[in-house]
Amino acid sequence: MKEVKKLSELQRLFLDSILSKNMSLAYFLGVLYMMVESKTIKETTIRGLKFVSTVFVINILGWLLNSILPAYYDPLNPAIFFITTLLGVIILKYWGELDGEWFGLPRYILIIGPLFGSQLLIQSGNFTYPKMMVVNSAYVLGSFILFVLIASIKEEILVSDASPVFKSYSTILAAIAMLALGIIGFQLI
Amino acid sequence: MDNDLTILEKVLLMGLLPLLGGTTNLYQSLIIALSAIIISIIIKYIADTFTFEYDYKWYILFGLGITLSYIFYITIINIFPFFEMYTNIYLLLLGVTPLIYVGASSTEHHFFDYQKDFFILMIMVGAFREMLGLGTILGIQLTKPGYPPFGFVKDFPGAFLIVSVIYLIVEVTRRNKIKNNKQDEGSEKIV
Repeated sequence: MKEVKKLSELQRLFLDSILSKNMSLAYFLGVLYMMVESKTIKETTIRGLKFVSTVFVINILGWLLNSILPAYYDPLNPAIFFITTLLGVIILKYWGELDGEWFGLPRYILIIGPLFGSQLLIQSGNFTYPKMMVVNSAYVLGSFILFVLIASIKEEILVSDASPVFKSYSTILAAIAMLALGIIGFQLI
Repeated sequence: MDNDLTILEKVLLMGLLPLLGGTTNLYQSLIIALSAIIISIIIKYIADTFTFEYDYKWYILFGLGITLSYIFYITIINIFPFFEMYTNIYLLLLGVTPLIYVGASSTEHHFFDYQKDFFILMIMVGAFREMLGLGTILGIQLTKPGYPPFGFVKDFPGAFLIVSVIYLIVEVTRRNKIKNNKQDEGSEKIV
């Protein structure tokens, strides 16, 4: 009988972090999706790439700065993360992705939360460098896949013959739940 | 879908962070919801005192939001040690939740409607998740210990599902109400 190969610790961490335990996504999906969402799937894909690449770089930078500084500087972490967050805002502003408002709130204020919060989440995990890279990659990959999937699902919902009540965010949230349940299936391997 | 969002939909998008993370049980939902509402009110009234509309107004408010969420976290742990097990990183992250800054916007005039909808949603999600995911309510055991009706509801996918079902129920009720009102108006015209 063929022996079933077990997943390594890093592989399992990657699978866990991609969706079912993607804390970055769980916390900031609403905000990130508002920032990324566009009229077409292609536009959403391009914008999604810009946002997740910025989050990826900022997370690494925040982790590196946090690791370089001695432990007694830990109370300064929020200040460090705030500076790296502002760097992320500058990059996204340079790309022209933060212009305008969203129901009275400036768009650059909306992105501060995910940029700041994802660094805080990575730091709270006390990861080593390889684990941080795995978790960070899984977070951004999971987010990117979900943005594109949501855009596709949304397009399908809008053109479908379903009752208008199902053409709402409730269907999208239910679809995300099903995707997350599917990912949990992989964890049983 | 997005051109004319209702307050409930905006609450859902801007407050998804505490709605998913801070609703594992009813106690936690109450603590997080009340803390978020108090922080929102403080931010609104401080923002009202600002007479300028520059970018740095938002940076000041954001710094204030993060500081207040830290203060709430430390205060709850020190004054009510019993609630320590119900508070977690979600309370610290209230400062980065866009919903708490909604009152600082000069174009938004339904501040208290947002808070009301947010509070109701938090309580409903917390109650359902505790009952279905843990088989308890306010810590009181309702089902056989260790056998909750839908254990997956206490985790992240279940939270999404509960939020979507509650949202769907509210949306169906709202649409039916609008439909009935229109029918009533129509029958009055015929009379």
